[in-house]
Amino acid sequence: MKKENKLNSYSMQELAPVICEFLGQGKKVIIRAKGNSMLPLIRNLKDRVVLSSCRGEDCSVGDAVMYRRQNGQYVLHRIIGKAQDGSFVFMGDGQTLREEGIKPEQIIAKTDAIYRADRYISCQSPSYKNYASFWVKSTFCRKLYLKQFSLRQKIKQKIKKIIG
Amino acid sequence: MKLTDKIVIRKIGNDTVAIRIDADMVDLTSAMVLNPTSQLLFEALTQDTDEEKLIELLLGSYDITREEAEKDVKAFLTYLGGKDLLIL
Repeated sequence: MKKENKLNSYSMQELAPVICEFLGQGKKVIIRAKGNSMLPLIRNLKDRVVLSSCRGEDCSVGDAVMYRRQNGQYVLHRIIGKAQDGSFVFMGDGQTLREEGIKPEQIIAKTDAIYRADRYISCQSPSYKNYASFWVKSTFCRKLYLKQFSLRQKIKQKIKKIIG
Repeated sequence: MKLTDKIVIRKIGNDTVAIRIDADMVDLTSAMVLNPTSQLLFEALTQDTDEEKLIELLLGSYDITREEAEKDVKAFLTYLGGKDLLIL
């Protein structure tokens, strides 16, 4: 059998059919995070996300949700707002661009918990709820924070290279 | 012997993958990407079979010695047994 880290190479598109199959059976599904759009909380290939099936209508501002875009792409981002017509506004935690007009029927699953490396974080925990609430409310100054975060990461990497 | 119903085989991308299913959870991060040999053995184990039949299957599919086939089948069954995925 091949090494299991080949699994990290699959896109959300490739995983979506099996994710939807098992969610449809009422099971929770654990997937490896891919991409940087949900930094700083969820790190590319290091962290895992526990998904459970949900109705779009039951989702709220602050929820990290998997949805299907009109172009067929599957994404996991956070709800930062809800429009009067019932559609949602999304933004990745590590992004500053809003994505509007996502309909409830485009929503596939909700994040129940996150494994940040081996540390389990329930999305019902007070610390997670505080993070989600803060992150949603601070979108106006996110650009500044993300620039600082990115700069800190670059400095860390440079130091690692120098130290070896 | 055969596989428990705790494991299913699915196509992801261009690969055939064995996925363990628990009562209320499926961990896709610990699924197993199958090479052609393990795929052949997995599929054979979806029906009731035995070690000798699996060895004969490998001998009929690949140009290998009986010793190699026995070693591969034993290793494969030990792996599955260790993960509690076989019904004997």
